[in-house]
Amino acid sequence: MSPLLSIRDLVCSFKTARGVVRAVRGVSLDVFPGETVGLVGESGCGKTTLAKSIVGLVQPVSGSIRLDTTELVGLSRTARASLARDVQFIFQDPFSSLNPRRTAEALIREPLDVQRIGTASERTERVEWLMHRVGLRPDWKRRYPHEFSGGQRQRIGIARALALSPKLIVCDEPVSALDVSVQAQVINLLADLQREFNVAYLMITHDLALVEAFARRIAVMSLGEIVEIGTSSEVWNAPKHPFTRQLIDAIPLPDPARRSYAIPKG
Amino acid sequence: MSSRPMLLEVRDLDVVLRGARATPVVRKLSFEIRRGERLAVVGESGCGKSVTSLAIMNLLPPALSVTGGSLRFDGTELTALDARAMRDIRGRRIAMVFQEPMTSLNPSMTIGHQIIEIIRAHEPVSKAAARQRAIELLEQVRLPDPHRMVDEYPHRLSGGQRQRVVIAIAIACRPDLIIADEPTTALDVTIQAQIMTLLTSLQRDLGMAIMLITHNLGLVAQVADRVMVMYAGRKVEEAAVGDLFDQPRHPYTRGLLAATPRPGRRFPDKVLQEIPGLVPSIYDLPPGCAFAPRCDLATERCSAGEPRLRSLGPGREIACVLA
Amino acid sequence: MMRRLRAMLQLISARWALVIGGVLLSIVALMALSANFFYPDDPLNMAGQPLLWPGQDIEYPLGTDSLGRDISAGLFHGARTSLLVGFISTAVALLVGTAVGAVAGYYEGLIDDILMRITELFQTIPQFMLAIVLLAILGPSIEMIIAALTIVSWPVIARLARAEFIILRNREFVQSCKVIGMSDARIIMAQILPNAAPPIVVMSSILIATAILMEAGLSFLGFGDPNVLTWGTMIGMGKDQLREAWYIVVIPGLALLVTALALNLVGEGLNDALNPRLREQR
Repeated sequence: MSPLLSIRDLVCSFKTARGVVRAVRGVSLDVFPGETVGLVGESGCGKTTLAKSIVGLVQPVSGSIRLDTTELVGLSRTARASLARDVQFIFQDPFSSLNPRRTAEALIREPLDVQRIGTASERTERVEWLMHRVGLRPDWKRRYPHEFSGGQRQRIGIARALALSPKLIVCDEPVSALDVSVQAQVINLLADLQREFNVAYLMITHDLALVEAFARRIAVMSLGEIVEIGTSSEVWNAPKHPFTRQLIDAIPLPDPARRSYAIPKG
Repeated sequence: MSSRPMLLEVRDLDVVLRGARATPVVRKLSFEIRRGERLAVVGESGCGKSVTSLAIMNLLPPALSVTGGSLRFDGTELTALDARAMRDIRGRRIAMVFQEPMTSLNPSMTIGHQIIEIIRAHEPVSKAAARQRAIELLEQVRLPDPHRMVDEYPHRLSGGQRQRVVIAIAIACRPDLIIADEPTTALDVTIQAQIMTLLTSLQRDLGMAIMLITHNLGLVAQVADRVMVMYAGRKVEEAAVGDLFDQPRHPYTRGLLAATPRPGRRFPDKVLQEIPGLVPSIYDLPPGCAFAPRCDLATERCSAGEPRLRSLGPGREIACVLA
Repeated sequence: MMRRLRAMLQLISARWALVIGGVLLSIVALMALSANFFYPDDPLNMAGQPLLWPGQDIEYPLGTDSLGRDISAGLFHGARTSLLVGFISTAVALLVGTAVGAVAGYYEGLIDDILMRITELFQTIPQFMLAIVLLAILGPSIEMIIAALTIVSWPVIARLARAEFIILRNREFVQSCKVIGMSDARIIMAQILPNAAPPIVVMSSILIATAILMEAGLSFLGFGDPNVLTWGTMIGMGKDQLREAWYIVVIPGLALLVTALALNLVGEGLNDALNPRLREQR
């Protein structure tokens, strides 16, 4: 099977007050259809920059990003716009990623309007179906983002990303801003949708424990490079790179009998 | 555990949100912290854990007020203190570490200046002596090159370094109690490990008590002696940390533990164990047990009246009619 | 009954600036609209005996000036001119300023630099001087006054719009629209502009007041349209009789004060009304 998304030697940099920062330094990565790949790293490692370059929010300096057979790097804005049907994005902050002056319905409908898919009534139907599918009551469609909880807002974001039936959704820390019990709901929802629509996810996160159960493969990123990649059980149980080991060791396990923090008793 | 002297005694604390109707945000909350112990307060958004800590420090925003209950700190009733007396306690005997290191530090003052300020606010020392103390504190929190750091501005430091400075300020006057409200949530997991290790070793060395407010059960397991679980403004369970994780009694506690990702654990039909539904809005609490609508063990009795907090033994409490 | 009254009072006191400003402004607007009805003749025409005091003659309730012109006719017609000049010049300045600021703030880089240099050019020249020079070149008619005031007012709006666009351009909801393939034009007009509007709306209320006062100043100095009577012209014409017939200056002066105050109150009220909701939504 050939990969759905194929990144080769990608380099992204941008100018800051202190000079040029190379956020992504020659990253290569594949995502196959219908699979979840977790991209794990700490802040500043370049994972978000990489994610944004896939959807065109950041322009890479060099390298290649292929979706099926189409080269994404260097695409014109209009060509990029039509690719929106294949690749979508879920943002981290469910509050700031939704226009506060738009209703839930308008937000989920926007991708259909922009891409001119279906008739007006077909779009309305699809919005209601999407809302139902992500666990939101369709009769809430006239409410505004501030009237929803954080988890519900993230569901709106998921419905919006799903509206165009993309093959790949890039998720940038989609549950970091949510409570633990809501995280579980949203992750389960994403898994359901994957089973039903065969959509692939590139899941960017700093939470290795979370992604271990969800992703088939995990790539670990540090300082702009991928330092390790393998199946999630390989990476978790037999990490090869010292940075991966460091990450794993630092995760506080919910088991008081196994205390890895050097805490003295008493 | 019970041999240690009492430090903080909270009894029947009520905190209310002002508005057209006074809405309770914390309801009849009672708990204790003894000298030197580590209590974790666990709950999700809206459970009232942060409000509780602000109430103890008398730092509630104008819209919130304490309408009932007692806060006894080392024998002194905090609710009866005037502003000056409370200022004396804040920083010197009870210190706070907040979540956001970016906003906890004054961006226009050097780090040294901020530490010196708090020392001299509570103790009659000279500037030179305070500066020397500040350098020692920066060493204690394991910041590199403290002699240089003391004159640095916050924006030149990383998030983890800033949080170390915040901790230095907190321990500057050797308080009896540190309240840490999600101190590592904004930090990377490796930095989190360093900061929590630092905090707990300082706590042990200086004999302070810690009230750790967090939603991260992993942290709780690694750090706490005792745990109090809150839901919708009430305590629903309390136990020693080993007991809580081995034998959680309250359905909400069990749900939280099940929802926490555990690498290697797999479920047949889902990725993670979830708790259905949402935390209820404080304006619209369900009748009876606030958790009943989401609880798979709920019966009619649960919605009939709010379950009383029962004691199952020393330091073991539960607010559930079924447990 | 008492509770409803209390609720109403609460609403009014929270929005008192908006209410009072709105009422005052409505009075001025009514005067402007009814000017031709109550005073169909040209107010610059002599109407009656000169230097009549207010209340002396019922036919001229606010008196007459040194040439026998009806003061209340002047007041009503002046209201019309002032509001017209204020609103039109601000409306056009809004259009131009928002367009320039939006494009500069959204695209940054070279476009931003060029547009901002142009804006600065207009801003560095003192507003009043610029207006006088423009009128000297273009000739003193009401249309030219409106044009001059527009030219003088748009830079402030451009700056404000640019600032708002720079903040909002990097918001995630804007990025989200780029990801679904939305064009820049649609993002600017439909996504960012409605969110950028509140501070601009508040500012325009103040700008209308400024335009009205500037027009009065220009007319007072004699740079106004000689064929149109405005409050400023009235003050200018009455300044020689300041000691004996001070009402000729005070009455239009009060009218200006009340109108400017009303507009400022409305601006402040809008600010209060629009911002907390925005904070809640943000």
